[in-house]
Amino acid sequence: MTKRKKALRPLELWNPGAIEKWLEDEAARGWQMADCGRVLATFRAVEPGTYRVRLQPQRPETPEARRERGEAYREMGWDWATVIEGDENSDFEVYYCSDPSAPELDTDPVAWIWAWEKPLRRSWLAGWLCLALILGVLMLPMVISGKSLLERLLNLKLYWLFWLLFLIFLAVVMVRRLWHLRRVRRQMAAGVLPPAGNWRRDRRWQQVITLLFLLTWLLMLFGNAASAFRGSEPDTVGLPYTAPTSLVEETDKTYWEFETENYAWRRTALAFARTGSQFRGEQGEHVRNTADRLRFELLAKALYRERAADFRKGHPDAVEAAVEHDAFDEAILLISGDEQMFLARKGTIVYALWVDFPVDLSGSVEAAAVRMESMGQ
Amino acid sequence: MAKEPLKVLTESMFYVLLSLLRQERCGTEIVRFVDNATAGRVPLGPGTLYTILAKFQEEELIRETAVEGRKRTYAITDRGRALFRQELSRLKLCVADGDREEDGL
Repeated sequence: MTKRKKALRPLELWNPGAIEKWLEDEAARGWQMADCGRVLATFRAVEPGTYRVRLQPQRPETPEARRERGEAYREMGWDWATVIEGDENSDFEVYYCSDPSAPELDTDPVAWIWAWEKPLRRSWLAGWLCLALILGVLMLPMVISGKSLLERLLNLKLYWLFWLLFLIFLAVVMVRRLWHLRRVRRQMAAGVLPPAGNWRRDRRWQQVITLLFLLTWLLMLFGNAASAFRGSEPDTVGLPYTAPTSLVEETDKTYWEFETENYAWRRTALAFARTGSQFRGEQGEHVRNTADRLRFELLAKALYRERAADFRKGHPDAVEAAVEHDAFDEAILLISGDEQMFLARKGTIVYALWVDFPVDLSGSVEAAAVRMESMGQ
Repeated sequence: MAKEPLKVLTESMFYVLLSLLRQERCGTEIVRFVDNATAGRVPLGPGTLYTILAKFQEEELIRETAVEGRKRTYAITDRGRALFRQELSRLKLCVADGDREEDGL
């Protein structure tokens, strides 16, 4: 039985010279590409030796014309080995030549450019299309919801977070493709054949990307399954909260109407808990509590900054007062007319209390400090 | 890259047209003709040959005339002849210019 081995197939075909060099090195070690699937290529054992390997874009022709061409190639020393499927119907034939006296497969640079112009243009267009689609998929939810990128990220379930990672990897691959294709197309327009480049670097890049894709895919599968078992209850124990009745003492629960449309209570991939509630008093006043316990302090810092920036943006005349308290890593009181927002962060917890009527929030600040300090211990 | 009609032929292209001036030929016959005519000076690889044949057909400089089994033969068109003559004149002018300058040395 013929010995065979598998290897990752070349993913990006815009650098034929590097792929040819890689296949020549494999042939020198006694391996010839025999089949190429979507992910893996199969190599069969051959006599190790010096082979020239060339890729050629497959052209639209009848099967008879292809056979006749194949026969002519063989007569001139070039044996067809397999076809590497490219994108957008641009497939590439792989030819091996073990006869050093046989002429090169391509002897005219201008004809080479003719042959490669169309598949590289397709690859260029497919790259842009793919990048536009990825950016569209990434941006559309933000445009539709009107929420910031951070808010979108913090609300993502684990499965969608991995999807996002997957799309970002894909976008990086497309940007790299477009960057290199731009250079290659410019060289070709100037009548210069693009240099082969370093096939080892290309292979390493490809291995890393494939591994990342595979890892993301596995995480998507297992992450989704794990979340189904783990449940999705947010961990709200110890999060600060200010009851509206404590702000306006002469009121009771019947005075305040709970606004269901402004209620949030969830656990996401990047947050152990995200809570938000808003009450409307009989006089039209509002009290809103939001408390987030995030997985990373970096995100908590970003959320704190974003909350403060949002208030400032909506109230350019806002007066700011820093709240000095050991319980908080950072805290601020923002006041604009009757509206006030107390914002505090301790580690990964971000708390915001917003009211739109004149009231002293110092009691709430102290209560939040006690609550958040106990969380930090 | 904008598509432009062929104006200048490379050596390989010139000899492919030349090989079809007097008679129809198939791919391997074209290679043999070019090899003989140039005494091996102009190598014509199979990839280049079939790319040129496809492009010339697209540009209507040559046409496929017969298919016998797996053998396909090609003939030059009037457009191909015109381009060949134009290229030949250009090359003659090049040679004349070169000779004149050299004679003046």
